[in-house]
Amino acid sequence: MTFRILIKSLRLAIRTGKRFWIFVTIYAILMATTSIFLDGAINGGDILPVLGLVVGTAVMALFYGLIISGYRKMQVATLRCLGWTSGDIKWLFLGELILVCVAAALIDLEVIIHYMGIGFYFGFTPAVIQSLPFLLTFLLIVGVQFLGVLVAWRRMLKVKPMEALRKA
Amino acid sequence: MSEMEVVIAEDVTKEYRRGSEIIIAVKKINLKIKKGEFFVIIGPSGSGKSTLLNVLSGLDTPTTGRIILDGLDTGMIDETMFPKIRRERVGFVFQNFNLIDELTAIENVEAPLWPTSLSSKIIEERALTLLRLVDLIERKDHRPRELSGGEQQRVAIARALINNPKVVFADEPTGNLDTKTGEDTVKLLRRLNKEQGTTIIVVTHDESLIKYADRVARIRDGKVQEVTRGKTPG
Repeated sequence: MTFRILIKSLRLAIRTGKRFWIFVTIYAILMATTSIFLDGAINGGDILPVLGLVVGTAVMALFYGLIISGYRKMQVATLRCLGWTSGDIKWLFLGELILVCVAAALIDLEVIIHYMGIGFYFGFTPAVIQSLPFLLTFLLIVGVQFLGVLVAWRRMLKVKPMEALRKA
Repeated sequence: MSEMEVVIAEDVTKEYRRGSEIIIAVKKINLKIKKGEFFVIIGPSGSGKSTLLNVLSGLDTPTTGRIILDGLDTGMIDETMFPKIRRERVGFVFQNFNLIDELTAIENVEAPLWPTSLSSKIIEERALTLLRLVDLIERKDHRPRELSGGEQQRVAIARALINNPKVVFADEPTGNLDTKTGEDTVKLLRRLNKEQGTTIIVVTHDESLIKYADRVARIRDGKVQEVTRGKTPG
């Protein structure tokens, strides 16, 4: 049943439309930039930009968590009236935040593959993000998302079911 | 408690604190609502009827007195048990419909059962049956914004019934609908009440709903003034 809620949460996230795609774009940029700097850091470069970007991603995750919890407040109150527990509701947020990261990573991969294709076509060796820093960045950013989930979930715990009965 | 009663309020008082002031929203209310009844609580704005609904349905706890909901004293139930009780015994219909915009009609109807161990196939079958019952089967894949107010409320009614509740609480179910659609909605609630035997408790300020009620409780200034028979037979 948790799996069912998770799957439904992915569908819900995609259907929110604009908000979802704005954050996917932001995360795609953050992920690509962090990967490039992480690649540099692994090869002896400066680690500070990577840390800065991770902190930036954490701030973004918190911001996203706040936005989702504000947007879904009435939905959460309604779902609690309908018998959802706070644990069930947590999966709604988790699904959306993880999907944003996965979609951002897929967009980055798509861009990398096309960039490589263009490079090979025109006869130059493209400097692309290496797989190890990209994978590490992905895991790091997914991990940081739990901050957003935590913020959204804690705010949602305060939502009382009877708020669903409030008049518009 | 008689087997025939599904909701009992005994000397129920609900107080709120607003700053330094204590507001008594509901005062010493006694009600017994029988199984299968279509019970209307009617009163003007600010009379305490919504507070009473919150308390009767277990969404809020009374300051004093007790509520027995389907045999359970809500004051004695552990907080963590309430979601299960709501999921298994209670349905809600809201004035603003409260459908989830990103879900289709059928998904909205199914949503209360998603956290349960029932298979997705059974949940879907139940939702389809209910959508057929409220005459919306052809609109099952439409999102709420693509439905009229009356259709949205019918989806909300189907959602309230998916868990086969003992009692459905409807808070101003016609409040956001025009007269004709509002009347159709109440007729639907009344039909479901008769066909399925579900107890329905409607809170409203709309006098025209009285004709569908088995019994009517009039509330004013937080007190039940009188409980009378409705105008509909049986």
